[in-house]
Amino acid sequence: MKRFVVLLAVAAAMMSSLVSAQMKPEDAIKHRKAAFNVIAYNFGSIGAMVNNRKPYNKDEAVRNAATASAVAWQPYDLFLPGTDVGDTKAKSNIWSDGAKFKSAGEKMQTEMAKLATVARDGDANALKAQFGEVGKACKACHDDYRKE
Amino acid sequence: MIKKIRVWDLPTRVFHWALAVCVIGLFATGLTGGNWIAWHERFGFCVLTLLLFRVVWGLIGSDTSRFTDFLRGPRTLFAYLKTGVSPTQGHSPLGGLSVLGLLSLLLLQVCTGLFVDDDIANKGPLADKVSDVWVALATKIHRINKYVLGAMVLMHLCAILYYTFKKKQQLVGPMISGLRDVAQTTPEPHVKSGIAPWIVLVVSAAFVYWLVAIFPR
Repeated sequence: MKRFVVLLAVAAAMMSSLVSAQMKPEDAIKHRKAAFNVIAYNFGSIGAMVNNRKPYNKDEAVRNAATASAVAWQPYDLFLPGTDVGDTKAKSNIWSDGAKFKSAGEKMQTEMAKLATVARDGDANALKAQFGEVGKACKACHDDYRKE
Repeated sequence: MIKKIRVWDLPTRVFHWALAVCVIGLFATGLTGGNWIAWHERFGFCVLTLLLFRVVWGLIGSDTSRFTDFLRGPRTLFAYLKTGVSPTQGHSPLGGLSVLGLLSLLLLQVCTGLFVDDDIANKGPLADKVSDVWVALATKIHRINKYVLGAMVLMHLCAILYYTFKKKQQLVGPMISGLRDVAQTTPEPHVKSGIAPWIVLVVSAAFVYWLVAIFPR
């Protein structure tokens, strides 16, 4: 029985790795774009607030920052091998300097997490300052890893 | 005998140095990103204002500021390249080409800038007025043209160094004072001043304000 359970677990692990390896490249691209768009929508909402394009609302800012921060890791699971072609602006150096790309992504995640904390403090000026830091982290990656 | 003549009117000099400050500011803020993008926008609006002014001043301004004075045909250009003697006291036929290049590239950069979307949180003031296809195109041009523009600015600076040290011809001083040393027999260009150019500048600024702040609402 015990052996059977272990066997089952191994089989399940193999299956799941097989499944992720077999994810259609189009789907990986679609889902990572969707994740980025959720981030962009929420981050953009905070941008509108801190740049006086819409009134500052603490609750909304907290929700936006929390959502963006919660999703910030998501796209980075989906830069699978073979997903540098198709309907994507991803540059191939994402896969060739993988470690640098990963740390650039983590920088954004760290700054976004700080944004979520700052948003809860309710200080609009601090929110604006941290908004700028996240923006820089976004830009660093866009400059290096995104096609024009 | 040497005499001093006025080659650059005050509005043209103000235009030049204001543009220089704005372009430095634009490169610095654009490359840094983050909250500096707000200043990138403001500098951009200033450049659009200055360019509109310059185009009008190129049609109605002093002799040396007019396009007809420094945009010459290939024959005049080649004659200048051969002899090194400019037929005019303002921009040489070659320098005139560089002015045309800089103004055109800046105009392209500032006009595409009105429609960009950086996919972070920054949009040009007119980006919502056109379809995404145009926004994507404008963004692409804005991103690529900055390199072309940077190269052109660098060439402009190299040309100034070349004229200063190789041809022993001062270009920076006259652009500050407006005055240039020439041979006694050189005819003086007609240099305008007065209130008219400043009215053009204010009208340009008002138009840009309307375009980026009132029209998009």
